[in-house]
Amino acid sequence: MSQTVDIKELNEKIQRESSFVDMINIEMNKVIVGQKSLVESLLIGLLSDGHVLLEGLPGLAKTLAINTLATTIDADFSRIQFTPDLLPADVLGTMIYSQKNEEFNVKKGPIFSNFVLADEINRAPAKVQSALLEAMQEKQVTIGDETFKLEKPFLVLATQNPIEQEGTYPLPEAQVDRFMLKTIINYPKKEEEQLIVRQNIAKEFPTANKVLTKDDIIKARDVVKEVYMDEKIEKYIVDIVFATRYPDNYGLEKLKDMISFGGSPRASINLSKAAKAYAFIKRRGYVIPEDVRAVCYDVLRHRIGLTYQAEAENITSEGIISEILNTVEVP
Amino acid sequence: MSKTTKIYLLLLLSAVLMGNTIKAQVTLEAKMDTNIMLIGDQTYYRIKASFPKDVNVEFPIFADTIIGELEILEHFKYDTTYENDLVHVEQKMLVTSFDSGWYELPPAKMQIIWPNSIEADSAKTNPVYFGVMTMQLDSANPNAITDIKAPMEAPVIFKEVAPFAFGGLLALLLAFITWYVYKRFVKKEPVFVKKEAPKEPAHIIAFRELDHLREAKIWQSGDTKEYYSRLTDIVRTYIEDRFGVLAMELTTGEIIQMIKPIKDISPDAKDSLKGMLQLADLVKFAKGAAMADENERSMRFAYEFVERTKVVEQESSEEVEEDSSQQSSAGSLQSEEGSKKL
Repeated sequence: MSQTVDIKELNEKIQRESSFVDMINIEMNKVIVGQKSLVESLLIGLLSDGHVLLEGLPGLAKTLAINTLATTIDADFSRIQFTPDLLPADVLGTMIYSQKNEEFNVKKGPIFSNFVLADEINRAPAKVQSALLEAMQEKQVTIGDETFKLEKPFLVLATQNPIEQEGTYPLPEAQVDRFMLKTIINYPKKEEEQLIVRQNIAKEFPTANKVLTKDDIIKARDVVKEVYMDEKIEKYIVDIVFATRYPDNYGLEKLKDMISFGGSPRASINLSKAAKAYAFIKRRGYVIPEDVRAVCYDVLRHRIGLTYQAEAENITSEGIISEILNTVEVP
Repeated sequence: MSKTTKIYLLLLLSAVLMGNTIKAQVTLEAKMDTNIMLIGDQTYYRIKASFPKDVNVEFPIFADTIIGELEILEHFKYDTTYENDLVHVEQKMLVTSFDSGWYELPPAKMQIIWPNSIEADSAKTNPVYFGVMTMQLDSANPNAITDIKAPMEAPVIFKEVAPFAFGGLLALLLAFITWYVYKRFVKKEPVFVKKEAPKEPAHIIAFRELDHLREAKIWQSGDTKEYYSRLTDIVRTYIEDRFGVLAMELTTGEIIQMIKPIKDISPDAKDSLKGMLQLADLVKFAKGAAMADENERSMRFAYEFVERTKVVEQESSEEVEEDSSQQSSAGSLQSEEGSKKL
């Protein structure tokens, strides 16, 4: 088997450039037990410049995982605990009058960091969510009449829990679409939980070391963009997203009444980006259908609207994605 | 006689002569279409009147008989025609009689109202004579009197059956619509299911497709990607049809995982399949350019994989005997082909 030069070179380049993935994994695994998919999702978001929304019950190490990832990278990190009385200025920053200089000075908010942890994002009212999500999309913030570009890399990692809906402000579909991935975190396995207990009752809690710089991330992102995606894979991605919009065209008539809206073109873009990042994590210079399928749930689950009928029949977006993946032909 | 008296007399004479002229123009007539009829037979009785336009004539009104022996079956509308200054009016009635004999229909009385006159004059039509005959029996013929004949069978015409036919069709249509709506929208099942012809065995289809692929010489013309796409599609379709694993919707890794527990596929074949699919993935998704011997080897493997895992159907002994000669020749061809391939 011989390969054309560019792919061979790219494979070698990726082998070299992706070595840090192992280092991050090692450092993360020191603190986080199990939750392999969570760590992978965070890495995909980091490498493909996409924001990540983590959803899981309280106590499943959502915040700890993000904290640990931020620790492994030599970059600015800030955490915002979203509460009902939070104001947009608390997130973005504001203008403060200086009596000494007799002028307004800009006081930047916690969003001016490389990594922003928006903890329990659904507890803040819509205007705060909107301010954050606008900054996520535009990667810039306007305070007063001055616009500030956010420093690269800029990554928002938000958490929310699916229970305790009282006093929460669920993210609207249009805003949740800004997140590249929505990762659901499940309970750890029995053995993993045993390790978690052991780790937490030990004398010292392990800490992660810094293994990466901001420049490494930016460089790695450029390499991820170079990962080769064949047109067959592109077509596969488009087929999957189209199946969420027009299921009857793919022999999925039974899903037609279950889906109120399907994935947007942003879903196709993010599915492609995430598949490339996943291939990079797996040390490959090209995308294969496995990569698409691996990231499909995280990319699409928050982009498929369910009808009342689907909710009444306990059909989830994950179930719909499974049906689609089991029906759309793999190239 | 004075001149004035002469004039009066002349005018009086003119008036008398003019009145007689008008009366002469009124004619009344009654007649039957036939004067002799069989008992129970039907004929028309007509009363006609011709009179100037400015004269009014009132026809007699009959109830259900004209005389006791002549029954009226149907009254028709007055038929009026105009001819110059005269009006011809005809009253027509369908009549019958069930009493034999000779009868006289009395003249029909009519009222005539002359112009510029208030009082009416009576006038009569002519009397009409007619006879009602019974059947003449031939006393010499003992069979002259016969039994009552059964009602005659009239041919069924479309107009008679149309309501029933259309009603039946409508009922069938309604029943079909009800069934269709129930099936399609309530049970949400396909309404018309095409009965599929029995499918060919998976290995027959696979062999045929592999033959086509080999004959197409795709990789030889430089399109290795298309070659591997078709080759893997053939193998995946075969796995789907043969083992029930939905291989067309699975990735290489998933296919390998799914066939792991299948005992009909040897471990060697599983390894070779994995190798071939991974090689195909490289060609298809990573611009990989496979060598000529790799392409040949993949094709050989595909043949071998299908050959080793195909379902061998048990045939009846008679069929085996009948087909033995054909099979032996085909088998030798196959083995020759196989030895070339493998």
